[in-house]
Amino acid sequence: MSANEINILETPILTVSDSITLRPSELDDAEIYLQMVADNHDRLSEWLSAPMPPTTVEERRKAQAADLARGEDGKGHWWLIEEDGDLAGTIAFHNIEATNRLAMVGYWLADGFTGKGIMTDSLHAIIDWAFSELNLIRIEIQCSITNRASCAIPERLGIQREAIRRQSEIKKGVVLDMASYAALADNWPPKPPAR
Amino acid sequence: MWKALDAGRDYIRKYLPWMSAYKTEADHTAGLNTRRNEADNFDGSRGYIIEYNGELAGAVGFGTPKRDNDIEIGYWLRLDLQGRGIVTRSVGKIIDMLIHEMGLHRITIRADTSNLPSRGIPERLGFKHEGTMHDGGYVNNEYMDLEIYSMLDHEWLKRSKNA
Repeated sequence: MSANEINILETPILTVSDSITLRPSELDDAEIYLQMVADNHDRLSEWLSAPMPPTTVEERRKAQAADLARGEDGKGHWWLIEEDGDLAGTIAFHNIEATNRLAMVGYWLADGFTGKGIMTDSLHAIIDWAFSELNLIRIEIQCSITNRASCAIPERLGIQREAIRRQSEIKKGVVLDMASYAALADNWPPKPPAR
Repeated sequence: MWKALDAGRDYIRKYLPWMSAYKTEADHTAGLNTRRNEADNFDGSRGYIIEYNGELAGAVGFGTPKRDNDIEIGYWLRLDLQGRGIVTRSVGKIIDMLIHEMGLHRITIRADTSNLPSRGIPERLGFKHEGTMHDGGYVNNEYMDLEIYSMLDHEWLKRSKNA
């Protein structure tokens, strides 16, 4: 391995805590994944385009197969989050860029699992893994500035906001200003900024 | 075009990652052909040559419009022709087209933090500075910070009206 190259690895099972496990998303998860999207559709569709609208199991399998193929090329990793064996949400690296050694993160939780620190701990775990095992140097998280619960996740980890990308997304006809956060390998976990 | 690129190699490759891959004119022609094929398959991107008094001066282009109508503009200019407003005016023209004719909503320009002439373009055109991407670019085995600038359609229309 060269110091400036990323590693292409299988998506691992990551143990986040005694109760939380990230397991690689598989083809046969299509049905439970769709059910989780349907159960949370109204809340999620304000912020996300990826799992919307709910599709058939067959279409979901196809999308999942495409994701898995991208994963084999080292372009992304997709996990399901389980709390004590119950499906709680998803977290993923998509758009891993080998040249710039960066990745973008996407995540969402099902109703009933929010507000317990599950996503904060999950995000911490996948960033740890990406810096130490994939050899990435930069991990980006973007969320609408009006989605406080989502922005609070990188903020609780001390990840700096670099920019607000004005009006850069449109969801359900609503124009969103996107806060853009980046975790950097040379400052991880982040030290507080110098005074 | 190759002549201008090759002559400007040392300063162009300081900021633009693709320059180092072009060692010969044949490399560059092959690169251009790949880009053309991508554009033909409609990814929406386009590149233009800038001519100054009939002479090749540089290039300006834009990438694939992302979802939500965001698009990024890139450019370079021969060192000996800098400081005359050539790129500022060229980029202005491109923005007119993107916003007035193609109906795009948001234009992004990213420039290396240390590349002041390049940053001057969005700054002179009234772009808003949104932030800094730490280690956002990789050129010549080094990571560099990129400044992010944006222009929104209504801001450009207002600017055009006042011009």
